[in-house]
Amino acid sequence: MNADARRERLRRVEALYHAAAGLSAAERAAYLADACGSDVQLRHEVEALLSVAPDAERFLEPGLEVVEQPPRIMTGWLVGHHVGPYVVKAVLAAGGMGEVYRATDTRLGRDVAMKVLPLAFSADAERVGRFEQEARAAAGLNHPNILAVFDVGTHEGASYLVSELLDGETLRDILDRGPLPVRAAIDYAIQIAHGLAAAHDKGIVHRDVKPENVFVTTDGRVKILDFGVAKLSEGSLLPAESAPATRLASTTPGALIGTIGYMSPEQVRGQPVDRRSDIFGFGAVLYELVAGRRAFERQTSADTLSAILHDEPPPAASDTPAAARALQVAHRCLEKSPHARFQSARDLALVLSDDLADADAGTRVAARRRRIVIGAVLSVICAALIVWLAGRVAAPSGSTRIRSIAVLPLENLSRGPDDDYVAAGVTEALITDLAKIRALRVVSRTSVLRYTRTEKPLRQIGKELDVDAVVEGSIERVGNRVRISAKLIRASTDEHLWAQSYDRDVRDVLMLQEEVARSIVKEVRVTLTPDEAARLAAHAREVDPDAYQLYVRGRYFWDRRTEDSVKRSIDYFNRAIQKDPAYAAAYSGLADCYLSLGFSFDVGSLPPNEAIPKAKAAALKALALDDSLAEAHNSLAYAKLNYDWDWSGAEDSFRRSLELNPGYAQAHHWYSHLLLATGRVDDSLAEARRALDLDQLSPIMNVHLGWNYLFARQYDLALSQLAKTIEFDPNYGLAYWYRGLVYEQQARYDDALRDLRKGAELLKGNVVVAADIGHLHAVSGNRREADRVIAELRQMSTRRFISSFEIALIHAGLGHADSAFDALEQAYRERSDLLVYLNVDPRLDPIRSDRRFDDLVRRVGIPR
Amino acid sequence: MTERHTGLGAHGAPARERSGAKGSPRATEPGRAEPPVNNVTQLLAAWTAGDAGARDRLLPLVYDELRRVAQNRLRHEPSNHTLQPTALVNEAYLRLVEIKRMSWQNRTQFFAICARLMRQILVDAARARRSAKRGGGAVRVTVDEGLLPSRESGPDVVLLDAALNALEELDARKSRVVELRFFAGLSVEETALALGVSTDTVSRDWKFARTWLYQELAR
Repeated sequence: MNADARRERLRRVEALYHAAAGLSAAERAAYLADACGSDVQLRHEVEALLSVAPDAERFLEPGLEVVEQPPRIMTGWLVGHHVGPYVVKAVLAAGGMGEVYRATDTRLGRDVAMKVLPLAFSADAERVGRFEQEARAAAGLNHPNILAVFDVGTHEGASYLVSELLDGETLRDILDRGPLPVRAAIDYAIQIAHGLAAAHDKGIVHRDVKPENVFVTTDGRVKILDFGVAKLSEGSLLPAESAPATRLASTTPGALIGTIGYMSPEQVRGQPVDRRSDIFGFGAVLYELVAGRRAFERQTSADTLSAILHDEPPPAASDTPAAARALQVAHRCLEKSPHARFQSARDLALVLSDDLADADAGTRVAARRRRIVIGAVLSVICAALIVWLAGRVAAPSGSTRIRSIAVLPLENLSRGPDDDYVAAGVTEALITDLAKIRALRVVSRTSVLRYTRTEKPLRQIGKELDVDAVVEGSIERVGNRVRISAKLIRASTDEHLWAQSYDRDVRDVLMLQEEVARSIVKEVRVTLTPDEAARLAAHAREVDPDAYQLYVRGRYFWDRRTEDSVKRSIDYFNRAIQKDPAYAAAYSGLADCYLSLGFSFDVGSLPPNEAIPKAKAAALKALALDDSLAEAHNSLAYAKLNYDWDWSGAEDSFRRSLELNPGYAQAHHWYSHLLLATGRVDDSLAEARRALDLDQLSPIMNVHLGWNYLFARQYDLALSQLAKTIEFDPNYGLAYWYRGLVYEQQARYDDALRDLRKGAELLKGNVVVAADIGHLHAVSGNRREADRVIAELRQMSTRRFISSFEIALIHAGLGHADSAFDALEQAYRERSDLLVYLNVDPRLDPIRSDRRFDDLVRRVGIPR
Repeated sequence: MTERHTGLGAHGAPARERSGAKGSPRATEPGRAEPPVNNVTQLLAAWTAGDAGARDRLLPLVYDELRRVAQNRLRHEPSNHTLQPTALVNEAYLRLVEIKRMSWQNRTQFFAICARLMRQILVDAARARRSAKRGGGAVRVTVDEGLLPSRESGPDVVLLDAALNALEELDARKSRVVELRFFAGLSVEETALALGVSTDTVSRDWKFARTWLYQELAR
């Protein structure tokens, strides 16, 4: 390239550089790819410049001094000297930061290590002062994983530090020999984390955590070296035993600080560092221990620095679950943003210890019980939101009013898969809490789930959910700390109305919770009833975190409502109860599971008289533990309705549940069953619509409204509602099933058969649909097929429970009144849940005029 | 290890020892001649007024003063050899000119002249020290040469000088911007005035040039 071409080239590079500098990392890549086209070289040039730009920011800043390097040290000059009570014996190591000698403490007759600073540093009063201060701090760090410092002083103008003398080698030496067994690697890491935690507790940041500064004694104990001394030099942290890759040539420009490859991004940028910077260094060490290579290693130091700022460490192969988990932890420590990392070394130690224990046990074993108070944090957020909303709800101006709200799934910032459940659970709890305010419509969980990690604009989400405001946020659980960040945003304008972050230790959360509970009662009285305020304040309760996770999983599987999923759900709830026998919500979950299994309307795989007593017992237990639990009242109400046929008792319990939580869609849903069964069709439809309104995206709420229209004999509305449901979820079996029933009532038998078969296929194993196909055959004139289905069902009933009500329906369809009533009597003895719909089920019309029917209705006790 | 013991015992205060042994003693503080204050001020004014010859007479005066200031500094702060170009130029400025009679333009011109001279002086000094080290450092034993870049340390002036020359070939103005900013401590506004370009241009040049130089030196 001639000179002109090179000048032109530079101009082009500069233009691209300026254009790209203002872009985000992602935009930048796209822009450069586009602008440079096939000129890869050009792109590399610009990228190289951009990558060093942050480092160049202070480069050549006018007013910066040009300082020559301190003079070199004369090695070993102290050997033979008497330094205070110490006799210096020999040089152990030497380097830019000084020399390390072996010395004997003549008072105690023990050998010690003596580190001596270069004289050039010793002449600097400020440096020495800081050195002594930090060395004393380190001396105060009495921890088995930190090098013990005995003494500091000066000798002939040179500052020295006396510490325990160790027999062993640095982690660097060990790593250089080859990969470590995972168990040993994690064990070392745990010890390092413990040492760092102790230092951080005293406000000391190491700032140069790396394998060179970790010493492993011959008996396997880890000691962190260079505490305090590291802080003294304000980051110019090159130690005695710098490995070549960490060495900086004196000619390297700019203020390079710390050890390349282990420096945190904030150190690279020259920003202030705190203990989270050590967490980063720790992560780099852990990664190297487990992965067997450095997290950030590049050809040149500039590239390495750029990698620290911009690149993820490469994924590493992990042979064992323990290694995989340790790498996950390392990645978390190596997050670019200090906020995204583990926040404390102590948590790190605990997490790694847990993993090691898991690896040993093969299963998840709770090493200890930590009780955290997620509910309390939630209450804090709810309280803040409510306080904010209180003003708005009460405000006369219509434009600022928030009447409806959606809580988007909190983003789980923790990396563990378990924490996804926690995030989901906390989201749900937040929804539950806010739903208790009558003046507010809160979209329920299933409806917001689809927005998990969504990229959609809030405005659009607001429109889709038809809400005034949206709450979004994140949650992070690390050891015994929980951090929840939340903000309230007006959907129509994207205006941030309120935002708050809560980062609490368990103990603080407890204190805070009491305080906030009081202020809720004080502040919110304007718009909340005293009862509501009191309930909110009382919501916080201690939850064992493990139990909580199990509970959330249980709810997840219950929602899927297949026989298998509900059985899994039961297992989770039982385990939650095992962990925390006083966990009311888990009992309520258990109750709901048995209700599903016992009712033909749901899964119907167990005889009601076997399943429902269990459900009731669980619901009652839940209420004994917490009488204010809306879910438990709802469970009990549904059992009273469909099993006890205790109509007034069921109504009372539904009302109690809805009073406790007017935003609980499931309670509106089940209450509409009662209203329908008792012929209050309009009220029933209103409740079904309310349930759907609260949980618009829930397939269950959608399909329920369609079912409700079917039994209300409003077939066109039923069809359109079920079509909407299918459009929303084309694989939702219940919707095809019920639409088939609607078509059947309209005598569109082909459509009916197609939909019922589709439903049966999707709801694999559901015999109730199979029975309904038999009924369709009966009414459509295919009597032989109907008979065959009856025979099949009877045969099947020897192996599993099949509600006799279904067989009665087919007989009714065939016009066999006597057989139908025989089967209904059998259903009565089974206490079939479907008997409560005797008065409204259109399929019973052929036998409705029979006096035996009136007798049955009377015995079931359906109020007129 | 044995090699490391060779220098034992003789180095109670090596830094002072070394600086004492180095550098030819020049005029000490009390014996210094008064700088030609009025002369410089007048020459600056004449140059601003269009007298091209005034600049040629100005240069040696400024150069001498800058060198004097620099060497004086080195003698009094031997342990770390601090040479802060901005401080040196300021000191020379204060010694050379009659502040009251200086216009803003005159001041900028003076510093613009200093920039190139300062660069030269620093590069010469660095070269001189380097060869002195290579020649006379026999008693000292190198352990980890230059392992201690510190927060305060600036770039290697000799390398920077070479990189600036390379940049000058490609984009002379950018090289000059760096010279004015780094070696004379001119602000962006002053640099813009000295070069007759907009401050935006200076800012962009400065931003790009120092990134470019940084990378060049990191190679």
